[in-house]
Order: sequence, then C-alpha cells, then structure tokens
Amino acid sequence: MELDLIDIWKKDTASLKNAEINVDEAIGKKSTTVLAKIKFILKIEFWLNNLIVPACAVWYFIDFGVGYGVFTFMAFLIYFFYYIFLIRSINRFDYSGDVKKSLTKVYKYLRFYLLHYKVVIWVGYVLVIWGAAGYGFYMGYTGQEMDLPQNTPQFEFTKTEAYVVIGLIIVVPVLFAALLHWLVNLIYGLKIKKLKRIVDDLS
Amino acid sequence: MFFNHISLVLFDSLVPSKDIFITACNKFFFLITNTSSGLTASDTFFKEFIEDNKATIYKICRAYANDPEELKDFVQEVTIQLWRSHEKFENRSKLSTWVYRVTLNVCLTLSKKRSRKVDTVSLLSTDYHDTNDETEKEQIASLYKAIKRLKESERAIVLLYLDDKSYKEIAEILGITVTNVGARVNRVKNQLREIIKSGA
Repeated sequence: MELDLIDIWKKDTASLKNAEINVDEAIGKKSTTVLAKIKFILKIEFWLNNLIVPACAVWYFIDFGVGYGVFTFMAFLIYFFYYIFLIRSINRFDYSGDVKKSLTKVYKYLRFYLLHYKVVIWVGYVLVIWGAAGYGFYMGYTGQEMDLPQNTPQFEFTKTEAYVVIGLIIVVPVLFAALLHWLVNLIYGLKIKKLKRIVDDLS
Repeated sequence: MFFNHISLVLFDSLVPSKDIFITACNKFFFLITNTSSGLTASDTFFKEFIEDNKATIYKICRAYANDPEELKDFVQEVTIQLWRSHEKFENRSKLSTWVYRVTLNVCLTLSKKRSRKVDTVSLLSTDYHDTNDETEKEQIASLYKAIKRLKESERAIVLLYLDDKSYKEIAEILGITVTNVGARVNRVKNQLREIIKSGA
C-alpha cells in the first residue's frame, strides 16, 4: 500500500513536467496575502501623514501659535517612525523562516496599532470634543468667562434649544467616532482577524 | 566616508520602500548599460530554478487549493515569495528544503483565506498530464482526494513523506523534531490508508 502511494505520487511528478510557471508575469504582480494588503494600506497612511501633517503643523504654527505647530510636528514625527517600524516589521516577514513565530510577532504589532487607533478615535473625537464643546457651550451660555468684558451670556437659548444643543454635542461626536471605528475595523480589523486565524491554525 | 555611512544608515532606517528604490536604481542602471537579454544573472538563475522545481511547487499547491483558479493564485503567490526571499537564501539548508519550506508555508497561510468546496476533478482535469492512462489519472485523483481530507498541517507531513524525504529533512522543513516527525508520519499514513480504504 505504502509503495503504491509513493509510486502514484511519482507518476504525478512525471505528469507535471509540462506545467508552466510564467515567472515574469508572476513577479510582476502584487502579492495577495493579508500582510501585503495591510502593508499597502500602511504605506498610503505613511505618505498621507508625510504630506498632510507637516503642512498642518506649519499652518498651526503661523495661525495659532508656536505650541500648536510644535505639538503637531511632534505627532507627525512619532507617527513617521511608527509607520516605518510597522512597514519594516512586515517587510522582514519571510516565508522561509519560522512562520508561526514571526507571524505572531507581526500580528501583535498590528493588533496594538488597531487598538491605539480605536483609543485615539474615542478619546480624540468623543472625550476631547465633549470637553471642549461642553466648556465652550458653558462659557457662551453663562458668559462667565474672565476674558469677556461683560459677564453676560453670549447667546440666548431657550431651555429646549439648550437641550437640543447639548444633545447634539453628546450624540454627534459619538456617531462620528462610531463611524470611524467601523471604518478602521473595515480597513484593518477584518484583515487582522484573518491574521489571527492564520496564527491560531498554525499553532 | 563617515557621512556616507551616516547617510546610508539613515537611508536604511528611514525609507520603508528602499527595496523598491534599489530595484528602480538597478533597472535604471540596467537600461543605461544597454544589456540586450533583459535579464540579470540573478533573474536567469531564478527562472532556471523555478523550472527545476515547478513539479514540487505544483504538487504542493494542488494539495491545498480547492479549484483551478485557486491553484493558479497559489502558484503565483509561491513564485512571488520565492522571488522575494531568494536573495536572502543562505546556504544553511539545501535549496530543495528551502523551496518546500516556502511553498508549504505560503500554502498553509493562504489556504485559510477561503473554505470552498473542494473540486478535485476540475483541479486535475486542467492539469498537464501527458498520459492517456485513465486508471493512472484516477489513481492520482483519488490520492489527492484522500490528501485533501487530511488537516492542513497533516497534509504537509504526507506530501513530504510521499516525496521520499528523510525524517531529518522533514524535520528541517517543518521545524519540528525528528522524533515528532516519526510519530506524526505513522499517524498520518494510517489516516490516509483508512480514507483510501473507505473510498471517501
């Protein structure tokens, strides 16, 4: 039985001598692995970060002051190196090595990246906006701002209008953050889940 | 010299797409040197190398792919990954061991993408058989059918066993111990025998 199987297998090898692999065509195409897709998106983000954030830093520096400009530029630098780190981690992944070990390592980096994205979305678009808008609303409604010449309300709201504005301040950032959360999940989350399944199966 | 070194270090650490840049530079250099064949020594070597190993690549990919379209994708992906890592190949292992390792690893990671119904018949009918022996074709088809019933990790073991690889080589390719290989080969052989016997 064993010899038969090996014999059949060898016949198949002989039968494959006419098989063709078009090397030029194959290496001219893009890899379709999950990692290649994630790397492609990261590269887009990397170049968007390189183009948009420094321009914003200059704009903030001129229009809003040194502090805003420097803060934005620092954020740009942090992300610049973070993207390089992630892209290089994916580049270093090699199918001829210990795939399980190196894929687990890359998966952990990407999972942290996704987590950081979600934290930034909810903190940046909900907590910060709630804080800023709430404070602004409070200042405008009560007029209790030290810089103002008169301690008078800046806008006159009826109670109903005030509730609507407060409601919008609460709901709109949550909806926006939820939309971004969904988008990030669509772009990265699903691919990282696939990566997790591959890592689990390799185990 | 020192500044050259610094700029190289910076270049290496700062440019994520340096490989693309280097490839572009090589292509540019190639264009201005006006070589007629269109291939570098490395390209020619790689093409010959793929030609020598195409049967191995096809057989492994066919054991993991579910239909002809997927088989084509798998072969293409394996070629891309072999191309990407062929310059990293260090003579620590045999070339054939390296081919098996890359091909199996690519197939193991790609086969998680889709779980479609296995279409062994159409997979084999699009093959390159130069034989008209129907019995032989049926035997090959039933062997593949049986292999596909195994778990993906077990398929790797059985493919290497059928290719007459020694336990030491199997251990090297799969990154497991020789003792582990022995136990697993016996278990998988029995499983394969039972599947073929039952005619499933």
